[in-house]
Amino acid sequence: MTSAMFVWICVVAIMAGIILVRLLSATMRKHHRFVELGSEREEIWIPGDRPVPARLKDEAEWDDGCDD
Amino acid sequence: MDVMTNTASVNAIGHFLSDYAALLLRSGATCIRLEKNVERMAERWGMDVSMTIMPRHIHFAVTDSDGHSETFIATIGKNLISYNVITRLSKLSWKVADCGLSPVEARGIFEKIKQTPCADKWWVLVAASLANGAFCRLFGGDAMAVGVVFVATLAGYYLKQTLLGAKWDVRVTFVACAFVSSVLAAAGYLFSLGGTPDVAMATSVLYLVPGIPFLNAFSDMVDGHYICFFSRMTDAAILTCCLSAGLCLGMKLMNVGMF
Repeated sequence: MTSAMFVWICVVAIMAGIILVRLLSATMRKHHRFVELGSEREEIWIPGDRPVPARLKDEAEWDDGCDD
Repeated sequence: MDVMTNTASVNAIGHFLSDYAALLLRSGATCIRLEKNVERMAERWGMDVSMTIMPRHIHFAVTDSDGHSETFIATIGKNLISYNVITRLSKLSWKVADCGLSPVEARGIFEKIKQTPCADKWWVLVAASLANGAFCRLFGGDAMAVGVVFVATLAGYYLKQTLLGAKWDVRVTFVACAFVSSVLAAAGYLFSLGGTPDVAMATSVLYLVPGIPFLNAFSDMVDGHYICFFSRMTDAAILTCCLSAGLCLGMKLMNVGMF
């Protein structure tokens, strides 16, 4: 690989990294996490389960009935 | 009481005119436009204004019909070019002259003009990239070169917005953006894209050329405002040198062109 190609790839990678970091930080700021560990209730839903109200999704006190 | 009323008038008008002048210059207006707008309003309100326009400050002496005079100094602050603001401020001066707005009414309109939002940055990003691509076509670039320049400008302008938003020095920003754009535009040479990679390379950094400071500098020179002329010309020349440094570095590392 020539040095010119190496420099070009480095510049493209750095620019892609900057764009990716700014995109992720923008989505994190809006509380829409790009990657997260969701609750079991959100990952596996069986007909008959109680729906999770949107306002309670972020609260730790939400009781999804799994401990009954 | 008359003296106190006149003092209040001179004070209020002087403060308004100095704030008005600072915003007008900060938005990228020429000195002659500033002089004409301010003198138009002062004449309508029965005041006489003398101005000294310096690169970072404006000195005002406002004198009423009784000979009572006050001096004001306004700091111009950091440039935020906006033709929209310049147009609205000029319209305000004509409204004062033609419709006889009072200083209080003029101040109210002025405060609204100060809140004018900046153009949407994504729209500006796309528009600047399209404009630079059009420049490439204008200078004889083929379709592939236009595409390369569009992408290079998109990346370079985005970097410029990011770095200026992070309060980087504008000169360092220009060097970095010119380097990135010229390296990305060298894809025409690297991957044999199209038949005019030299045009793509040369036009990829045109979006950084400080056109407004150059034009304003020449306008000030024509009107005899030599201090502002030298100041603006020096600013523009420094930015052009930074742009050239970034371009030359990119061309050198990509083994392109004149070296």
